[in-house]
Amino acid sequence: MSDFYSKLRSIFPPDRLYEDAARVTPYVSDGLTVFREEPKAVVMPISNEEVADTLKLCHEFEIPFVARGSGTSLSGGSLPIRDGIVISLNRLNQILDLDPDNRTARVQPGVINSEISAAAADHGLYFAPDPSSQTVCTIGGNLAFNSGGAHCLKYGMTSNHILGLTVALPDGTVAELGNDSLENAGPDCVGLFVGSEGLLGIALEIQVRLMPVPESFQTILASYDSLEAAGDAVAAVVASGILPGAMEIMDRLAIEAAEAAVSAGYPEDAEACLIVELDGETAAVDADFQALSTTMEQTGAKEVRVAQSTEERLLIWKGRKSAFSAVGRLSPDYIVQDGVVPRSKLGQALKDISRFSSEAGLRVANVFHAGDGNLHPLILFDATEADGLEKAEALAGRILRLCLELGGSITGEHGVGVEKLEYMPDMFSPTDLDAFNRIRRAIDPKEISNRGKMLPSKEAPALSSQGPHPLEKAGVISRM
Amino acid sequence: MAEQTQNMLKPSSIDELQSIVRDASKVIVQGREERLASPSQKEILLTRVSLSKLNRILEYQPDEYTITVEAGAKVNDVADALSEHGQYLPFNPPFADENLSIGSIIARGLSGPAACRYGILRDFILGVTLVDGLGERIRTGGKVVKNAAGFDIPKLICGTWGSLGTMTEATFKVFPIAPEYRTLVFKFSTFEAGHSAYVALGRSKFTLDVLDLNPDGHLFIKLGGQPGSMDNRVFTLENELGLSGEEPDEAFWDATIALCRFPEAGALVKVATSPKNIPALDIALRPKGQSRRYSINGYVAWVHWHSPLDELHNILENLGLTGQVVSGPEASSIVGNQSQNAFFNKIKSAFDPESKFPDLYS
Ligand SMILES: Cc1cc2nc3c(=O)[nH]c(=O)nc-3n(C[C@H](O)[C@H](O)[C@H](O)COP(=O)(O)OP(=O)(O)OC[C@H]3O[C@@H](n4cnc5c(N)ncnc54)[C@H](O)[C@@H]3O)c2cc1C
Ligand SMILES: Cc1cc2nc3c(=O)[nH]c(=O)nc-3n(C[C@H](O)[C@H](O)[C@H](O)COP(=O)(O)OP(=O)(O)OC[C@H]3O[C@@H](n4cnc5c(N)ncnc54)[C@H](O)[C@@H]3O)c2cc1C
Repeated sequence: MSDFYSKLRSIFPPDRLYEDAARVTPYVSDGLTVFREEPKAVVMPISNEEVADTLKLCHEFEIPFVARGSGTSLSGGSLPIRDGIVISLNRLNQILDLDPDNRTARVQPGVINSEISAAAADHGLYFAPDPSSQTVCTIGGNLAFNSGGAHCLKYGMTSNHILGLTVALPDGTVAELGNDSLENAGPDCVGLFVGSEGLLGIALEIQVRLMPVPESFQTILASYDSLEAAGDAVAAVVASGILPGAMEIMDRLAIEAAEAAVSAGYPEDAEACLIVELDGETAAVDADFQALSTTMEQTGAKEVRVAQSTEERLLIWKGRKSAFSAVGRLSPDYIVQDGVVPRSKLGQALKDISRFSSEAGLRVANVFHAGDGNLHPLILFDATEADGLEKAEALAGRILRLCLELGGSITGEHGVGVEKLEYMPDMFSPTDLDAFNRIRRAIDPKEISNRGKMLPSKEAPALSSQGPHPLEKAGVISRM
Repeated sequence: MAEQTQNMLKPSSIDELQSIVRDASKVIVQGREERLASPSQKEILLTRVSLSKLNRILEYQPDEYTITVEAGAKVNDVADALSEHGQYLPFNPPFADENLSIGSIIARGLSGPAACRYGILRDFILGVTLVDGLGERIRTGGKVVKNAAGFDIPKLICGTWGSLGTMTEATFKVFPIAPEYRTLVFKFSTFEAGHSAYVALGRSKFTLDVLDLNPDGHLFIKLGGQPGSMDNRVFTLENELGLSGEEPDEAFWDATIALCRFPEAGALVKVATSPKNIPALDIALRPKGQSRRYSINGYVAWVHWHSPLDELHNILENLGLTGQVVSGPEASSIVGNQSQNAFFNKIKSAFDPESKFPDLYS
C-alpha cells in the first residue's frame, strides 16, 4: 500500500496532496453531516491527466476513491470511503468554451453552477438547472446527482441539459460520450453517466446546453386556508392546460420562518402559499397570464398577489429559497428528504406526513416543488436528546416508504448516496438491483469508484449527529 | 406458450417473453411483423418476436402529465389517447405514416421537428421495463415526472435498436397541446441568409415549436399559444426576420424530407449536429445532391443518402459528427465518429452477456 502513496506523491506536489489529519478534516463529511469518515488522502488535480493517472493507480492498487465538488450533497454522496482517497475537483474550474450560436458551453467539473449562467448572461443565455445551492455547488456534483431545482417540470433536470462528456473511467481510461448536440446518434451514454452518483468514473469536461433567458415573467403568490387547497390549486392549473415554469408550495411553518428571516411579504395568516411563475415570450406570457388568472380566481385563494416588478418577483423567490435555512434556525438539528409522489397524491401525502409528525412528536415543515410532486419535508429534531436523530431518521423512513406506496420515488433530486441505500430495495427488486450492479461492474470491475454509494452493499457507515452544514451555518446557502 | 405465426413468436405476457428469450440463442424484436420476408439460411437460428399483443395503455391520468404504455402499443394510438385530453408527446414522434410501435420509436431514438419547443425523446422518457439477455425483467426509472434513484436506463436505451433487451413498457412525461398553432415558411433567397436567421432565432427570445431549415434557405416555423396572442407574435417574428411568412405549399413539402414516412429507397440518416456546424455539413453534402433537412433548432440534420454508406461515414468523420441510419437495409448502423463504442459495448455485455440481441457497434 505504501507503494500506492509513494506513486501518488509522484503525481501531486505536497500542496495538492493532503495526508495528515488536520488537512483532511474538512473533507470528512458532506452536506449530510450525520455521516463522517476520514479519507486516507485528499488530492487536488489541476489537469485531466492527473485525474486519469490517479484513477489508474487506484485501479492498480484497488483503492476506492470518491470525486468531490463542493461537498454539498444532502445524501452522503461525497462522503469519503474507508481506506480510500478523495479527489477534489475544485481546481478544475474553468469555463473552457462558450458558444452562443450553438447555445453550449464546455466546462470543467469544478465550475460552480451559477457561474455558467453568469458567463452566459452577456449573450442572453443561461444554464437552466437551478438547485438552491447553485451559488456553491459544482456542475460535477449536479451531473452526478442529476440535480434539480424549481423549474424542472418545464425545463427538466440537470440531465436534460448535459450534451457531451469527457470522462475518466474507473480504470483511468478516458472516453468521449455524446457530442455537442441536443440530439444523439446512437445510444444515450451521457444519459446513463449523468445521475450515476460517481459510480461510473469522473467527469472531466462537460458540454452543457444553454437556453435563451425568457423575455418575460409573471409571478403569482396565492395564499390558502389549507395545504390541501393549495394542492388543489396546482391540480387546477395543470388541468387548465397552462404550463408554468415553476409551481412551489410552502406551509405555515415555512412561511413564518421565511418571513422572519427575509421579510418577503408573505401573508403570515395563511396555512399555505403557492407560487406560480410563467415565463417566455411577452405576448405568450401575457395571454397565458389571463388564462391563469381566471383559473386562480376559482381556487378559493384568500389572496392572490402578482409581482409588479422584478424586485418583487425576486423577493418572492428569496423568501422561497431561504425557507429551509430559516426553518432550520427554529431547531438545533434537522434532516431533509426529497421523496416524490404523483401530483394527484400530494394532498394525501401531506395529510399522512402531518399525522406521522404528530405521532413521532417531531415538527415537520414542508416546502416543495408542487409541480413535480417533489416533497421536501424538513424534520426538526434535537440531537442532544439520546434518541433524537434515531427518531428523526425513523420518521424520514416512514415518509419515504409512503412516497413509494403512493407510486413515487425515494428521491427527486438529492440522490441515494449512503442515506437512502436502505430504501433502494423498497423501490427496486433484487433483479433490478442486480442489473444495476452488472452495469457498474462492467465499467468498474473492482468497484472502487464511489464504493458503498447508491447500490446497497454490506458496508454501511455509522451515524453520528454533527449539526447543519458549515455553509448553512454561515448563511451562504439553504436547503430546498 | 406464445402464439406463433410464420416464423414469429407473439408473447401475450412478459412471462412468455422471458421464457422465449431464455430459450433462444439469438433474438430480434420486430414491431412491424407485416414486413417479414421469408427467412434466409443465415436467419434460421434467429428467434423473431413481435410485441403486437403487448399493446395496452396501462396508466394514463391526464393531471399527472404522465402515461405508461406497453411497448407494442402504436405511437399513433397513444397520441390519439393523449389528444382526447388535450395532451401530446412533446418529443413529437415522427414517421406517423409508418405506424411505429412505442418500442420501435424508442429503440430507433426518434424525435420530430416539434421537439424544438421542450426537448427530445430522452427528455420525456421517465421509465422503462425490459427483458434483458438473461431473460430477466428489469424495471428502471419511475412513473413520476421527477426521479433521481438508480441508473438512468430509460435515457440510455434510446437509440439502442433492441441491442440491450426487449422493452415491454415505457412511461413518458406529456404536456398540454397549445390551444392554437401557426405554421409559416420564410423564404430567404440563399442558404447563407436562411442559416444566419436560423442561428439568430435559435438563441432569441422566441419560443418556437418548430424551427427547421432547408438547403434552399427556407425556414419552417411553427408556434403555439393562446389564441389572443398569435397575431401579435407572428407580427413580432416577421418584423425580426424582415420577411413575411407564407403558408407552406406543395412545393415546400416536395423540396424537403417528409418526416412522416421512411423513403422508399436509400438510407435515411439522422445526424447529430449543432447550428454552427450546419454550413460545413451542407457544403460537404452538396456535391452528392441528396436531400437534407435541418431540424430541432439546428441540432439534427436528416440526410437521405443513396450512395455507399462509407462515403457518408467519411464525410461525417472528417467533421467530427455522428449519424445513425434510421431506415433502409442498413438501419441502426452508426456512421462517422464512434467514440462511444467501447463504453457502450461494455454496457451491452452487462445487459446481454450471451449476445442474444443484435450488436449495435460491430
Ligand atoms: C443548502 C443546500 C441546498 C440544496 N438545494 C438543492 C436543490 O435545490 N436541488 C438539488 O437537487 N440539490 C440541492 N442540494 C444538494 C446539492 O447541492 C446537490 O446535490 C449538488 O449537485 C451537489 O454538488 P457538489 O458540488 O456539492 O457535489 P458533492 O457533494 O461534492 O458531490 C456530489 C456527488 O457528485 C459526485 N461528483 C462530484 N463531482 C463529480 C465529477 N466530476 N464526476 C463524477 N462524480 C462527481 C460525488 O462523488 C458525489 O457522489 C442542496 C444542498 C444544500 C447543502
Ligand atoms: C441491429 C440489427 C441487426 C439485424 N440483423 C438482422 C439479420 O441478421 N438478419 C435479418 O434478416 N434482419 C436483421 N435485422 C433486421 C430486422 O429483422 C428487421 O427487419 C428490422 O429491424 C426492421 O423491422 P421493422 O421495421 O419492423 O422494425 P421495428 O419493429 O420498427 O424495430 C426497429 C428497431 O427497434 C427495435 N425494437 C422494436 N421494438 C422493440 C422493443 N419493444 N424493445 C426493444 N427493441 C425494439 C427492433 O429490434 C429494431 O431494432 C437487423 C436489425 C437490426 C436493428
